[in-house]
Amino acid sequence: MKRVLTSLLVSAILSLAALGAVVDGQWSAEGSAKTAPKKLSIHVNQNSLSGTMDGMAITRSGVDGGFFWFYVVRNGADFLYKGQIKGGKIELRESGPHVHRTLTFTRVQ
Amino acid sequence: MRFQAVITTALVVVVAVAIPGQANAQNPPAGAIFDLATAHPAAFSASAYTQFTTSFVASATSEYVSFAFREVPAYFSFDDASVTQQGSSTNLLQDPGFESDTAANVGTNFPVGWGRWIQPVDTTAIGVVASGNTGDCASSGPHTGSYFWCDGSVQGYDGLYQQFNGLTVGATYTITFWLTDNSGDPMSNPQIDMLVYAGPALPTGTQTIGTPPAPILVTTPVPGTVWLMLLGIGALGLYLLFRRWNAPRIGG
Repeated sequence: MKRVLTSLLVSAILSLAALGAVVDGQWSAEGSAKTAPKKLSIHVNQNSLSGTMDGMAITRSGVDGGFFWFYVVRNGADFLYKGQIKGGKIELRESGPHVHRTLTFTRVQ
Repeated sequence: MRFQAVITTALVVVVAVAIPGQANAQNPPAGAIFDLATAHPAAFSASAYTQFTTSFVASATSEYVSFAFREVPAYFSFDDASVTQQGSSTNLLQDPGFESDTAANVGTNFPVGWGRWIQPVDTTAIGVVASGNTGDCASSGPHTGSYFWCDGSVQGYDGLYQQFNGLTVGATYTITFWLTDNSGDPMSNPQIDMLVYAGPALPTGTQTIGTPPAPILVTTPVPGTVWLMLLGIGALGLYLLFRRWNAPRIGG
């Protein structure tokens, strides 16, 4: 009984912390697309995110399982970013006025 | 005993913290007749559409058929749907391939001829009319024609629907549609899934947005044998008319 409860507690804590552990931190964009965002600083708070993209604050956000999304205002327009971790990198789908593309961010060591 | 109490309390605390974390995990409405995560659990190739088929038996003369989407990390492309009564090839849907849409309503949530519903949560990235190889569904484009439906609803499921009046109770109706997904991830309920609903009411817990289109009045298809009988009667009538005209006239 003791073992079952302990392992339940450990797995509950681990799953709760899982996404935060892999996403939290500083990230840098791969590639050199002129209009693409370059720097991402992100922190998971339970079911939402906080942080900045190129210095602009994340506004609305959410977390669901291994997926997350957030909005950033860039050049006066709302941009939606849908993200997930793939191969240790953040893959972000960017959607804004006349901009629809996939971006990859690698962790800044 | 004390250890168990401590661990149990800790578990309760963790669960209490975790539950708000799951607040965004919006489950689909109950009662789907088709669940993509079951029918096609594997990832899609974004540029290759797959056709899916399901069916329902009408339990009332008036029913709704809905196609529902939720795609947290990416987007579904949906096109060329059909609803047909078994034994008929007539597609009962209005604008099943979105080709009545125009450049003016690309990017809007209101496709011509379709009604829309949402689950009343955040409506980030709910479906829009899409065109060609542009926008969030650029990697697929339409299945055929110029226009299609691009849906990446993040928090709740959103649905496209049409209402049919004049269905035959007890008759079987077949639903088909073409679909692809550009996440590269396997389907998973509730985060990446697409469902179909059919019933006398819209799925429970949903609310319509915009002005719903008028219900489609379904006329019962005339079976082939009835057409043959009508054709035979017409031919017999013509023959009798012909004989009467050509009959020799007495005293003429």
